[in-house]
Parts: sequence; C-alpha cells; structure tokens
Amino acid sequence: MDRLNVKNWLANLKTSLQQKPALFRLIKASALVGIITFVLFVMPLILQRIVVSAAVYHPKHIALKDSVAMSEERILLENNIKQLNKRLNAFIPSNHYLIINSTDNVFMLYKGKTLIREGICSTGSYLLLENDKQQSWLFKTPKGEFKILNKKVDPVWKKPDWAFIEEGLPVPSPNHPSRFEYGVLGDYSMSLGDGYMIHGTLWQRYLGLPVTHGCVRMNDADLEAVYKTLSVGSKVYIY
Amino acid sequence: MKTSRIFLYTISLIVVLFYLVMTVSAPVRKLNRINQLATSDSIFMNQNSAIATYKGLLPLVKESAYKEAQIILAKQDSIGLLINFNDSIASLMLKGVEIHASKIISYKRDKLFNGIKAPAVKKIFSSPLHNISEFSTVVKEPIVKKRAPKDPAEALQMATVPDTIAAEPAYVVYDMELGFRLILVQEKWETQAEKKIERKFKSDVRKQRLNDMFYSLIHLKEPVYTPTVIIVLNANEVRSIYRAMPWKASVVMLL
Repeated sequence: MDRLNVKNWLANLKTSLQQKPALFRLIKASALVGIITFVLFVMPLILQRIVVSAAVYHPKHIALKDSVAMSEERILLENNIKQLNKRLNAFIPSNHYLIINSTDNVFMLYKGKTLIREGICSTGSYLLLENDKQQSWLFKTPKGEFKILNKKVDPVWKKPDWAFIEEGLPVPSPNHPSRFEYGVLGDYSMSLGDGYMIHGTLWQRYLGLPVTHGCVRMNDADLEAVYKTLSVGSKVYIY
Repeated sequence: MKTSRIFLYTISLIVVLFYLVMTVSAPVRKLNRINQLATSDSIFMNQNSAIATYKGLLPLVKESAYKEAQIILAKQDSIGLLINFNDSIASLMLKGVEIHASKIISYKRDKLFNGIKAPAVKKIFSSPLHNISEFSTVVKEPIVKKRAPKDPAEALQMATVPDTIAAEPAYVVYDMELGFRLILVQEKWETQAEKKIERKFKSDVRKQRLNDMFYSLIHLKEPVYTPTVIIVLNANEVRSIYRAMPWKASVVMLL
C-alpha cells in the first residue's frame, strides 16, 4: 500500500511539473549542476582522502630484534645526533644574555638555558616622522643579535635632530647645550650601537607599550639588575 | 544529430573521467615526486643506502635532519621558526639561541607527510625550508606616519600615546618551497573582527583543494595537491612569531 502511495505521489508530481515546464527545467538544471559539482569537486576530495590514507598506510610495526647491520646504523645515527646536540649547545652563550620581545614588549635575562629575570619593557613605536624637507625617521627597535658596546652610569642624552623636529623646535648646532638632557635616560644605559640603547625612563606607566624612538626602556629595578648582570660584550637578542 | 550528441557525450565523459583520475591521484603523484627528490640522486642514495633499507631508523633520521637544519639556521643571520611536533613546541631561533618558545595548542598535519620516506626526509628536512609567498592578517611593521609639527604649540596638540597595544586577529599562511603550506592561526576567536577572520580561515582551508582543482580544470593543467600543516597557537604567540620572522622565512620541522 505504501509503495503504491509513493508511486502515485511521484506520478502526480511528474504530472504537475510537466504542467509547469519552466519549473521542471529549473529543477532539472539544478539537479544537473548539483551532480556535476559533486562529481567534479566533492567526490574527488573524498577519494583523495582515501587515496592518501592508502598511500601512507604502514602495517603495524612488529618490534623485531634489530639485525646486526641495522643496530650498527642505529648506533651511528645516535652518535651523530649526540654530536649535533653538542654543536647546537655551543651556540648558546655560557654567560648572561638578554632577549627582548618587541611585539609583547617583554624582556628575559638568561644565563645559559636558565631564566634569571623577566619583566616588561618598551620598544619602538613604528612611528614614521616626516618633515617638509623630505627627511624621515622610522622609530623602530631593530631585530637581530647585538652586543653591549658600553655601559654608563647616570647617562646624559645627546638629543639627535629628530628630537627637535618632533617637538617643532629648530635644530641646533651639533654641540649646542640644548642637545644635552640630564636624567631622562634613568640611572644606567647600555649601548647596542647605531644610537640604540637600553636605558631607564621617567615615564614608567608607559612600560609594556611600544612608545620609544627605537631604544629599549626598562623600569629602575629591572634596569639595575640587567646593568649589573650584563657586561660589555654580552649578547642581546631582539625579535 | 543523435550520433554527434552521443559522440559529444562520450568525449565529455572521457574528459571528466581523465580529470577525476588525475585529481584523485594528485596526492600520490605529489608523494612520489617528494620521495624521488632523494631516490633520483644516485650519489645521495649511495651515501644513505642504510636509511633507505631500514625503516625502523626513520625516527632517528627525522631527529638527525632536524638538528642538521637547526645548525644551518644557526649560521644564518636571521630569525627562523622551529616546529617540533613531538614536543608540540613552535620556537624562534636566532644564531643558535632559542629566543622564543610557544606551546602548540593543537595541529593538523596532512597525512601525506607520514608517507615521506627516510631518504627524502633527510634530503628535504635537513636544511631550512623557505617561503615563496605569505599572507597574514597581522601587520609585520605597523608603521604610523606622522608629519613633523611646525612649532611647539602644534606639537603639543599632536601629542598622543597609545593606551593599549592594537591586537589584530592572528592568521598567517606561508606557502613554502616544494609546494607545502604552513598555517599559523590563533586558538580563540572572540571579537567580531576575529570571528570574521575565523570564517575566512576556515573557508580558505575548505576552498584550497577546490581552488587547486578548479585552477587546473580551467587552465587544463595537471591537478596539484598542496600538503598543509595547520598550527594553532595563542594569538599573541602567532603575532610574536610572525613579526619576528623576516620576509624570507626559514622554517625547520621535526615531523
């Protein structure tokens, strides 16, 4: 009885569709597009997965005793790995070094593989200052490996040209007294070269944010700890 | 008319069948090509015949290749990405020093990587892989232009300091040498902007195979297959990694 009902229903459907040829054509076209899409795009994806699984299938490894030759090769490989580990470990500085994350504005002080201290800092703001003389300065902290070139107590900041341009002030002569600012770099500074330094700051509330002109700023306690730990020649890694 | 129709249908069927066979077999062809990178080099195979013979040495071969690639990376002057699937760690290395380590929350790696044989693992993965192109929602250098003020009064008006660090959704795609794809993506998608990028990420992954097939069909080229690795990390970790990496990224993987 059910089969008869389905048959009748299908027959009625066919009749009603044939009375609406446009709709019938639309349904036929949609079905055709669906079948083509399935055959050309969906079925291959499914089959690809099956084929990849079959291609990489390995029967479960039954642990057999290594042959003599294989044991020798295994020992050679293991020794090779030990040698490679030794060579890799030689790259790690045995003394203290500093790592600075300029995205998260944090620093980590290490000795070998041991973390000694970590904290927040501030790095470059990525501000591009442009004047009307076609000069520009990009305030970013450079990435790479650096060394501490010198260390100073109570450093004095010799202001570069951009420091005046940024404030709308005329640029003075190279050794003009207005170039020298006292106390803004904190109690200590460590130079990385090319004018970049690790130093303190008067604006401690901005620590953790990218606000500097390229230097790395720390709070007083962290700066003192880093200053007293690192020596001239210590490595600084910035990323 | 009927004959020509039958002829047309037959030709279409043959073309479709040919296309289907080529598409379905694309991963196998890709795997064979990868393995042939080693097997076609007779000098290399002679030097490494043992690892080709003994399948049980594969884990050691992988580890050895990983270490060798790290040493090559250590001698370069740039930051590279290390991906260790065994320990679920993605780390950055600079001059041999691990400068950043991130816990891989989860990953999805194409099964094709499991079919790469020991000689090919040694040949391919014992030196860093580089990217050919990349896409990222993270801005590598978020440069903001500022015009120099004319006087101190104007400078005072222009003075601004960021309250918080702008955090864009983290979704990075590296198209690597040898036709691999590496995707780094954040774990949680909470804000509207992040949910929009999440939809894009999921759609890109779904559409990638379709794009490969569609492109090959339209251009009548051999269908390609792009093995993909998707690594899920914390959003900040993705940003830190992406911004640290140079434009020509170096990636070392321990499969």
